[in-house]
Amino acid sequence: MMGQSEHIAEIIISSLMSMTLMLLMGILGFPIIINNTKYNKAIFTMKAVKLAFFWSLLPAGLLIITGTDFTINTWEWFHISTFTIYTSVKIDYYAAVFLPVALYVTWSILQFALWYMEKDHNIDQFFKYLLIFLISMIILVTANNLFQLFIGWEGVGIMSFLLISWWFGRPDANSAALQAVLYNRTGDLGLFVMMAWTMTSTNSWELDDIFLHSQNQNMTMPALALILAAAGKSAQFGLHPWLPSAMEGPTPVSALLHSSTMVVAGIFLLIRFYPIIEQSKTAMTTCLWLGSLTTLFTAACALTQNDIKKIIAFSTSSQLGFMMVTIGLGQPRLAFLHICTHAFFKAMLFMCSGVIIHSLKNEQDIRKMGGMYFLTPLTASCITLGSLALTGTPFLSGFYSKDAIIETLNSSHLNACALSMTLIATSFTAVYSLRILYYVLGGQPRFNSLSPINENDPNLNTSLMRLAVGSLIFGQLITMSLPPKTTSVLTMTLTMKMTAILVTLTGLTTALLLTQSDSLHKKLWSHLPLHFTTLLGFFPLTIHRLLPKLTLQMGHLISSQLIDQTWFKLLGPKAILKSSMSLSKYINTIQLGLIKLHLMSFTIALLTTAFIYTIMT
Amino acid sequence: MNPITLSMFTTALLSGTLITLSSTNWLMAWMGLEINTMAIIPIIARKHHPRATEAATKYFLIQAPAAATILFCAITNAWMTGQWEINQMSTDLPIILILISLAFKMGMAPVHSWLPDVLQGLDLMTGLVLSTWQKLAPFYLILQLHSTHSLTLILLGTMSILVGGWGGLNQTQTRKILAYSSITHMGWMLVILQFSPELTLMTFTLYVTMTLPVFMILHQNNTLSINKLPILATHTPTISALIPLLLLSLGGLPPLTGFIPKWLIIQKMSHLGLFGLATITALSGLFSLYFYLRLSYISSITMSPSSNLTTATWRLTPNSIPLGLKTTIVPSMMLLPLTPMINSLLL
Amino acid sequence: MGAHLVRRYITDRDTEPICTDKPSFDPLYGFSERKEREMVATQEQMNMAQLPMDLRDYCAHYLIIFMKCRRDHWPNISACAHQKHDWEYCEHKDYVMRMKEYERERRLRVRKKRIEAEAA
Repeated sequence: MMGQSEHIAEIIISSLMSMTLMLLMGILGFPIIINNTKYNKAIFTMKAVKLAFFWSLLPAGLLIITGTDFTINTWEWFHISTFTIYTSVKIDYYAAVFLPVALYVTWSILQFALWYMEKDHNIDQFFKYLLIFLISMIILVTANNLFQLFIGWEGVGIMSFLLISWWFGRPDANSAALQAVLYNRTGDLGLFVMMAWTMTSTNSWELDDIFLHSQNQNMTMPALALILAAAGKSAQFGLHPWLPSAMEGPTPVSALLHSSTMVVAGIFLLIRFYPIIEQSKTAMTTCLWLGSLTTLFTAACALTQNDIKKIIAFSTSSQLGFMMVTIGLGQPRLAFLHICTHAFFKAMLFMCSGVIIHSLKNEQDIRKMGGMYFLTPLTASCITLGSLALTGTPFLSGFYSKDAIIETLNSSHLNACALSMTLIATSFTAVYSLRILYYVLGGQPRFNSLSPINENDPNLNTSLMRLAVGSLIFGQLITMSLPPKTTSVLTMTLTMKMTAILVTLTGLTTALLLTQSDSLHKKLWSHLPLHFTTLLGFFPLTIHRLLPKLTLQMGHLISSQLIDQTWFKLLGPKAILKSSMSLSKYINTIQLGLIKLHLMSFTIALLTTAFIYTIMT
Repeated sequence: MNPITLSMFTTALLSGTLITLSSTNWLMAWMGLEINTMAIIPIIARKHHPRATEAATKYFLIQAPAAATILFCAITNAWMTGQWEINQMSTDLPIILILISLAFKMGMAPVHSWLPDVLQGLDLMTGLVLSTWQKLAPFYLILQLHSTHSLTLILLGTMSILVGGWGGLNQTQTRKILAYSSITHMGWMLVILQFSPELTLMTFTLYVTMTLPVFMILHQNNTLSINKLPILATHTPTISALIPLLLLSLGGLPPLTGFIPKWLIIQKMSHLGLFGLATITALSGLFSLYFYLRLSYISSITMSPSSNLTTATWRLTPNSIPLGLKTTIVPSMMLLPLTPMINSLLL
Repeated sequence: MGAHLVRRYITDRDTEPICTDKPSFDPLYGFSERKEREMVATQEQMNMAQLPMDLRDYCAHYLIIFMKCRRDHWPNISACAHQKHDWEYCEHKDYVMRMKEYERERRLRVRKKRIEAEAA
C-alpha cells in the first residue's frame, strides 16, 4: 500500500512540475509571439518575467518540500534511423534552483533596462532579444538530452552576438560581438565532439543513458571536449578575451550575459556532466589548472584596468575560474551554489556601474569619477554591498558559496600550486573591489560639473534594491532550505577556517598601504607587470593581431604570388595561350590558298603511309 | 542559274550520294562519289564570283585525285582478291590508301587544308551542303571499313580533333571556324569508329542537326566574319539569345544536345580502358569549346558599347525566323533528356 | 593542504599511505578492547527516508531525524538548527576518527620500516 501511494505522489509531483514548466514557457513565450502595438511591449515583457519568476517558485518549493531528487518528462521527438531524439525535460535540484534565480535576476535587469534604454528606439526589440536569450538559457538548464542542451547553448550564443552588437554603429561593439561568436564557436567544437562521441559510443543523447554507458569506458576524450566547450562559453584562460570585450554592449546586456546566463552556461554544462568529468583524473586536473590560471590571470588583469565595466567583467571572469576550480575539486554543487549567489551581486554591480556611467554622460573611466558616495547614495550603497558580497564578507550571500569552496580547497589533497594560485586570486578580489570603491565613491569629483546625475527613477530604485535584498539574504536562504545531498567539510583548524577572510583582509590591507605609498609618489614596481596586466597579458596583441597578421600575410603571399600570378596566370592561361597560339599559327601556315599545297599534303600523306606500311610489313 | 538546271544538279547531287549509300560494290560506290562531285561543282560556281569559281576549281582538283586513288585501290584490291565487295576488303595497303583518300575527301587532318579554303569561297548555304551532305558518302564508306585498320583511324581522328581545335583558335571568319568545327567533329567520329560504329553514326547525325541551325542563322544575317555577330541582337533578338546555346551545344557542353556524343564516346572509351585516348580527346575538345565560347561571347553575352537608341533597327517588323531554323534549333539544343531514346534508336 | 603531498612524493615515498587505501594493519593491534563500529540506522529506515547513497554513513540516523524535522516544520527553515547541528557534529567526529585512522596507519608503517631497518 505504501509503495502505491508513493507512486501516485510521484506521478502528481512530476506532472505538476512539467505543467509548471510549460506554463512558465508559455508566459515567457507570449511576449515574443504577440505583435499588438497597443501595449508597451517592454513593460509587458518585464511583467511576464516577473510572473514567470513567481511561477518558477512552485517547482523549487515542490522539490524542497517533497525531497524529490528529480523529475523527467520525456516525449519522443523524431528518429534518425535507429537513433531516437527525445524532448526530455529534467527538473532537478539544479534546474529548480536556477530557474527562480535566473528569472529573479532577469526581472530586475529588465526593469533596470526600462530606465537605462528609455531613449532607445528599438527598446521593444531589445527586450525581445533579452527574453529569447533567457528562454535559451532555460532550455539549456532544463534539458535532459544533448540535443535540447545544444539548442539552448547555440541560442545563448547567437543572442549574445546580437545583444553585444546592439549598438552596431560602433566598430568596437561589432568586433566584440564577432570575438564572442568566434571564441564561442571554438568552444562549440568541444560540444560537437562530445555529441559525436555519445552518438557513436552510447547511441543516445539522453544524459542518463550517457552516464550509464560511460561507466566502463575511458572518458578522458569526451571529458576534455566538454571542458573545451565550457572554456569557450565561460571564457576560461586561452578563450577569455571575448568577455571583457563584450562590455561594448549595453549595460543591461552585460548584466544579463555576465551574471546569470551566458557565461555560467559553460560551468553549468560541466556541472550537468560531472559524472563524466569525474571519471577522468586528467579532466579533473585540467579543470583545476584551467580554473586557477583563469582566476589568477583575470584577477591580475582586473587590478590595473581603468574602465569600470572592464574591472567588473574581469572579476566575473575570475569568479568563473573560481567555479572551474571548484569543479576540479570535485564539488559541482558548490560551484552551482556560487553561480547562483554570484548572479545576484554581479548583476547588481553591473547595474550600479550602468547608473554611474549614465549619470556621468557615458564616462567609463574610473579616474574621471569620484565622490559618487554623496551624489548617488543608493547606487553607492549597492555597489559597496555588491563588492562586499563578492569578496565573501561573512553572512552576505557570496560568503556561503565562496567560504565553503575555500574551505574545501584548503582541506583537499589536490595540487597545492593550483590551490595557492586560487587563494592569491581571492585576495586580489578585495584589491580590485577596493579600487572601484576608492576611485568611484571616495575622494573628490573629477568629472564635469554639469553631469545629469539622477537615480530617482522608480524602475531603477526598485530593481537595484531587489537585487540588494537578494545579495543580502539569498545565500543564507538557500543553504538553510535545501536538503543536504553530500557531507560538507566541517573539520579543520582555525587558520584553515579563517583562510578565506584572512587572504581577503591581507589583500585589502596591502592595497590600502600601496595606495598610500602611491600618494607619496614612491616608485615600487617596474613598469613590466603594469604593462603585462593593462595589456591583458599581451594576449590580444598576440592572438588577435600577430597571429592573424602572419596568417593573412602568408595567405596573401600564397594567393597572389603562387596561385594568382603563377598558377592562374603564368603556368595556366598564359602558358596554354602561348603554346596554343604558336600551334594555331603553325597549323594555319598551310592556308595560303594555293592548290598545290593541298595536293602536296595529300601526296605526302599517301606516300608516307605507303612507305611506313611497306617498312612495317 | 536556271531553276531547271539547278534542280537537275540537285537531283544528281542527291542520287550520287544515294548510289554510294546503296552500293556494295567499289565501282558503284566510286561512281556515286563522282556523280556527286560533278553535281556540286556547278552549284558551287553558280554565283559568278571569282572566289566561288576558285572554290569550285579547287574542289574539283581535290576530289578528282581522291576519287582516282579510291578507284585505283579498289582495282588493286579486285586484282589481288578477285572481287569488288566493299566489306570484303582484305589487303592492308589498299585499305590504308582508301582511308587516306576518303579522309581527304571529307577534309580531315592531316589532309584537311583544302576545307577551310574552299568553304571560305562559298555562300553559307552551299557551305552547309558541303559540310553535311557531301560528307555522307565518304562517311558511309569509312563506316564500312571500320574494322580494318585501327591505328590509322585513331591517328586520323585525334589529329583531326587537335588540328580542328588549334586551327579555329586564330580565326575571325565564321565560315573558316565552321570548317574547323567540322574537322573536329569528324575527328570525334573517327576516334570512336572502330569501337562503336553506332556511336559514330549517332555523332554524325547529331553533328548535322547542330550545325544546320548555325549555318542557317549565319546565312540569314549574312554573317561572314565575327565582327558582324554583335549586329545579330538588333536584327533577330530571339536568335541572338539562342545562339550561345547553339554554339555551346556544338562545343559539347551539358545539358545541351552536343553533350550526348561527347559523353557517350568518352564513356565508351573509359569502358574499354582507353584512358589516355579519352583524356586527349576530352582535353582537345576544350580548344573548340574556346572558340565557340568566344563566338557566343561576341554575339550576345556582351553588348557592343553603344547606347540603347541604336540597338533597335528602323524596321518595325523583325526578320521572321524560317521554319527550317525553328525546327532544327530545338533538337540541336534540347535532345539530351532523350539520350536513352536516341541510344535505343541508333545503337 | 599539500603537506601530505610532500611526504607522499618527496620525503616518505614508501611509508605515506594513499588516502584511498584500506588500513593494512590489524585493527585490534595496540588496543585490543576496540570494537567494530555499529551502524545505527537500518537499511530499511534509510530506504524509507529516501536518503541519497552518499549520505548512508554512520551518521545516517541523525540525518533521518533532521530530514523528518525539516519536513514537519516546512517552511520554517530555521526550526531544525539543533537537529542539523547534531548531524554535523556526528559527521565531524566521524571525520576526526578517519583522520586518526589514517595517522595510525602512517605511524605504523614508519614503525614497521624502522624495525625492518634495524633487523637488517
